[in-house]
Amino acid sequence: MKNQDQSPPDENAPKLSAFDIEALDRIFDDDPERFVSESDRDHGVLNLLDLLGTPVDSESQRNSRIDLVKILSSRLSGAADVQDVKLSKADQAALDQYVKNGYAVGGVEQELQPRAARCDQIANAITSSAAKSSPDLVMRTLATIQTHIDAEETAMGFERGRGGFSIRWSDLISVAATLLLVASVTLPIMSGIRSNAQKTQCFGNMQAAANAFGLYTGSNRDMLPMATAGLGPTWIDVGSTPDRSNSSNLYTLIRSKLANLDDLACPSNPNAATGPADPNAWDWNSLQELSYSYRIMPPGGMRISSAPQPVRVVLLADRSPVILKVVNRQLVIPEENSPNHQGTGQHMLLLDGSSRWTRSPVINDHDNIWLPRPIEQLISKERTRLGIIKGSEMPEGPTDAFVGP
Amino acid sequence: MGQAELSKWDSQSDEQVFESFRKDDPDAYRELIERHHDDLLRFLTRMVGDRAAAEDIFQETFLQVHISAATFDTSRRFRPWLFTIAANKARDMLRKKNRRKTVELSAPIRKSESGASFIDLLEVDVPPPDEAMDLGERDEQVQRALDQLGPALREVLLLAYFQRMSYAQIAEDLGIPLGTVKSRMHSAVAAFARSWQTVSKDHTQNDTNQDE
Repeated sequence: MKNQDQSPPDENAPKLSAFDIEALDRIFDDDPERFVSESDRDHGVLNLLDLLGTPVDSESQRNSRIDLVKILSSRLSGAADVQDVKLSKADQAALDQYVKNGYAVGGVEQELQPRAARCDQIANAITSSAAKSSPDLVMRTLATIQTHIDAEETAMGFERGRGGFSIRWSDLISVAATLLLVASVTLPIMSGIRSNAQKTQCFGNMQAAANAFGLYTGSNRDMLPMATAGLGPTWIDVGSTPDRSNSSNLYTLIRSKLANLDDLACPSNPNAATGPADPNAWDWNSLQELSYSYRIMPPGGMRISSAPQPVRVVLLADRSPVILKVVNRQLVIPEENSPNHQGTGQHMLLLDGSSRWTRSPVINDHDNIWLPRPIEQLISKERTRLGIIKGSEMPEGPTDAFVGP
Repeated sequence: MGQAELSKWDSQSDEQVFESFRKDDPDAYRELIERHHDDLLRFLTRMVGDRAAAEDIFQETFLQVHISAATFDTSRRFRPWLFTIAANKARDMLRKKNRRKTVELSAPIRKSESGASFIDLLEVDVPPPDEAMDLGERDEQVQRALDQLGPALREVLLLAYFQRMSYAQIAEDLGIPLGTVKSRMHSAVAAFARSWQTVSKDHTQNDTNQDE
């Protein structure tokens, strides 16, 4: 038999069709025992190849085919050979003790420890991996589950509308009871998965915004996005003019084409503006379209280098519930979470470019991101919760976290 | 950019988080996926020898967990359940893939010996510790060595080492007798050591050939 280690692969050797390979693999994978000896196996494959009709025009081609069959056979024998190896008795005892001791070498009998250490080395090599984790795999997994849920919901809706067979009232009632029971168990789970998928997408938006902020400040002498030289008497009037709306400052990222509307649309906001942006627009049309609240910009703007502790400055967050309630003249609860994620918490993008998820708007030594510090202090004294924000307040200083519409 | 998670889950067990998920806590499922992401992905990659396929099975596994959530007995441990589902999915995938298995003709042929041979771990090389070898290179060689093992041996070896389970736990999980687990584990470690020898020898030979 020719030693294939010394022979380079012959590019002119006959090639099997995919069908032939499939047939070959079936013979060996599905019923390897049917060939008693190596020679029988060789003949089996050889006959099969002949039957399949790959033409053999010369003796040399016939020989190369025999070589091919022998190589295949030997490979298969080789795979079996690995399984035939046994551990020495001492190694078996060392492995058993190593497993029994919770995969620790320390508890193994002294004389067996060097062998157990070898088992441990194998364990470490197998369980550690240089391969990097996939940053988006969690998101893709949640999306896969969401797709499944959506498909199930669609199928359920379709089934409900279908007729064509007769049922008795008793059947109907029991089916209805079962459906109610199933729905009561599965719907909370489904809604939980959906909100997780939305949250993941929203976190992706924060990352996109961070990139946009980075690019903007990089080409604007470290200045954060501003639409005008400064805000006028109010900043709460979304969709009016840039000097009356803080969100027009954020919209600068879209006008500069560093972000698009979709990047700044939280999937849990049903009214979020998405799709192509109007090239002449300066702002979102209304507070309802807005998904994120941007740090209130002081007159003259703000440089990223002006904050002594960038990690404490909140640049962007899921939209403020306080502003929504003020505008709608509803009772304000300062400690309320953003409505974007069913009130469970909010994403925040910090000035150092990192983002975080918090389950309370109160961060950094009792600093509420929805309010400027003077009002926080007032609330702590008065706990007056109605009509607190006028829409003209400014952050007390660089370390006062305070975001607006 | 990192996400500094202020997590309420830190002090909670997998089983507690899973129970929260079943009670509709919207963060719990993501927490479970993130918690097992690294280990499960490594386990699956080792099992099927293909990163892209491992990621597909990873997603299928968590989808299956979601579908079967209502049936999970919370008096049992979550992680073995998760890994058993993942191992089943990987086994299915390998079964399909094996029908189209490609044989590596360039690898050396080992002639069958009469009967089983014994291996002594003190006399053979095993994968060296992290600092002694380039990690990427070692990773690749470990995978090639694992690929030489049959699925049954590979599965028991990976379940044991990744989950640090006792023989009895593995037997219960796989539904096979304790004695079979023990002998499979012995065979698996021996087969891996033998396979590693071949793979590392090939690697050394290739390096020598390239140098020439």
